[in-house]
Amino acid sequence: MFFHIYKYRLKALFYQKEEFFWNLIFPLILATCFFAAFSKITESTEGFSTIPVAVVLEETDGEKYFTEMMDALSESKDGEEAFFAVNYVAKEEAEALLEDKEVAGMIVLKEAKPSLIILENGMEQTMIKAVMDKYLQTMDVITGMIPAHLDKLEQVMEAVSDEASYIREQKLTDGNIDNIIDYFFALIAMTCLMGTSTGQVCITYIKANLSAIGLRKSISSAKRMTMILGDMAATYSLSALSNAALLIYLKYILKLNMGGSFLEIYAVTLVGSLIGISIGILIGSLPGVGEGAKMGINLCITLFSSFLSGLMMGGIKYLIEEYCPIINRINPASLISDALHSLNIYDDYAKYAQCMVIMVVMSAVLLTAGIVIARRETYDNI
Amino acid sequence: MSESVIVVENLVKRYKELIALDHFNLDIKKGEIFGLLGPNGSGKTTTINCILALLKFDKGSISVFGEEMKPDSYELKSKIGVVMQNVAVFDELTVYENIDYFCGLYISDKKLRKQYVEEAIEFVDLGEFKKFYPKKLSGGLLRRLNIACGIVHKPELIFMDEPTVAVDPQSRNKILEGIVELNKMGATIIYTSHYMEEVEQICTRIAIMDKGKNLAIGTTDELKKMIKRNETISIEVLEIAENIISLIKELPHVYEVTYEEKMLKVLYSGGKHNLIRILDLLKNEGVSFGRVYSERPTLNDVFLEITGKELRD
Ligand SMILES: Nc1ncnc2c1ncn2[C@@H]1O[C@H](COP(=O)(O)OP(=O)(O)O)[C@@H](O)[C@H]1O
Ligand SMILES: [Mg+2]
Repeated sequence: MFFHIYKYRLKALFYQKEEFFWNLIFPLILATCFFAAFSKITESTEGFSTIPVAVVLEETDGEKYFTEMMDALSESKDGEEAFFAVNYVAKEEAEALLEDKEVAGMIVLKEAKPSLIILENGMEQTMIKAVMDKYLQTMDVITGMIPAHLDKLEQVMEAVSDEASYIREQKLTDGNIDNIIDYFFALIAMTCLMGTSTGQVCITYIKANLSAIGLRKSISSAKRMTMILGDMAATYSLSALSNAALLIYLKYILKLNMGGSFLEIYAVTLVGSLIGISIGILIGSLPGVGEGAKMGINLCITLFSSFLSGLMMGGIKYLIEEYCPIINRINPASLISDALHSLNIYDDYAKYAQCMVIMVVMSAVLLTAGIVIARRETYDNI
Repeated sequence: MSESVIVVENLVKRYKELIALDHFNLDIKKGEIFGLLGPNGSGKTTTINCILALLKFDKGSISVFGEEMKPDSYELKSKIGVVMQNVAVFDELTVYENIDYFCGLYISDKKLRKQYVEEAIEFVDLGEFKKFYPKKLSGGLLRRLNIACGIVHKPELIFMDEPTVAVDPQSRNKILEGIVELNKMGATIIYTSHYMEEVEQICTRIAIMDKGKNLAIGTTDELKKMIKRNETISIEVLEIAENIISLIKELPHVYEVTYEEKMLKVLYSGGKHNLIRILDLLKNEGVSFGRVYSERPTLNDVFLEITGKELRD
């Protein structure tokens, strides 16, 4: 029964040329536009330049290692530009500098731990973050291992400057830490979340009050759940296909370096599409909401979710991370882009796995809720 | 009498302010072709949707094959076929695929399904059009496809909601013949229409409804007996004197006589030899007359007498 429904739905989907077009071709066209627009920018911004930062020392204790390190990174060696240009200032002044974009980030040192505050998300911010992470990590390791060792400054310095030159190296050769890629991640996330509208259609075709076909299906002896899942599987197959087409296009034709292997990235898009379709199914099954309104809700979710993940305006995600991190943990677009970022920049598989698991669990919850609502519904009017 | 297939008692259904069904009652027996006759908006479709547990209703009870119907009464649903008022087929699938799709929602066995689909195609005579997409079919053919999709799984109980609306006469006759054939093969059929001729032609029993109320139930003859008028005789007369009209009024069974635009119209409430009697009287009185018509009442007359308005809008 499931396969019967799946087979015919798939056939119908392929027959619907418009839908086919939107699913398959539209993201490719957008990708081409992005590529054309950004290839000019990348050319002009290539090369590394010193990153200005503001440092606020909140306590005088335990700042020694940190300031030594910052000073070391601020020196230009072997004719290369320095990594950082550091301004030691008071908090208010640092905030003003940050506000005026005089500095790329502001680092507050408190209890020997630096914390990074930024207003936008870009290449420079990513680089500061990577250096700070390395510093903290090394400090943790060292202070944990040999508490009173005198040489530890040396080791910290070494680890951090290695990281700095590694980052600089990558920037120059690989273009890997590159916020342009964010826009392509945005595109991928959006493609995944476009599944909301196709998910909604699965429900339209099952509800007696929404379509004549839905009525005919509702009175058949097939279980509604089987019918929803059959339609959903067909829709999902199409999404999987269009995701693959998009990734192949990005990776092998536009030759974008997205970090991570094809399969790792593809897995993110598969899970992303699953969550998109599940959202659509839940929204679609809300009783008493009009079709048009549901389409609107789906569109809003897609756009708002993308917006909060910083795909239209960098930095927002970091603001949220500071004030209400839970949003980043459940926002589908953030999860998709985090997963892609964790492959691209940090090589952080724990983070990758975390994002994937959250998305799978969320999909299961949304889908179950949608099916439960649609399964036994009778209607006030048809 | 044989067992009841559908029993509806005191059904009340409101759409917000509007009362669509007002203490509606029905008792449909196995083997009937039961007609629901009523003008547009009288509540026929609403009745069917309530019986099928698609619509919530406000009051009353409904049982189908002796059970309460619920959205997940899958066993019950497998015995029911529905041909809806609106054509419900996939534009993206061919005639064959559409029928196969809906058959597959009931029947998993592939071989049996193939057989059923072929039989349904033959039944609605769409053999030549198997590979056609619905967009390429004329209105009548589309209706026939719609019917095939609803009955392909050989249900015991079939609902047909105005299956002949907007259909050419040829397709219409085919559809009506088909319904009778389905019934002969053992299906109980509930047929709704606002065309009285159709209902009169095929239905074994009829309920006349208006404004959500069941006004009368019975066979065509029973319904016609319910009303006073039994025969109408119309005679073309150029001239007639008042006193002769009075004489006609004295004839047995006559209850109303009118003379308008050179047409004498005499309404009878019964009797057998009305025509001979009146023509004798006219001859004896020396009244010359032209054409003569004798009409038995139609369901329209029944409707007219019960509701005070024409069935046709
Ligand atoms: N979904 C609905 N919302 C509000 N009123 C409705 C709805 N469907 C039908 N009605 C009203 O209920 C009455 C009965 O309609 P319906 O059952 O479709 O009649 P029929 O099938 O006999 O033409 C009509 O007055 C119609 O306007
Ligand atoms: Mg109707």
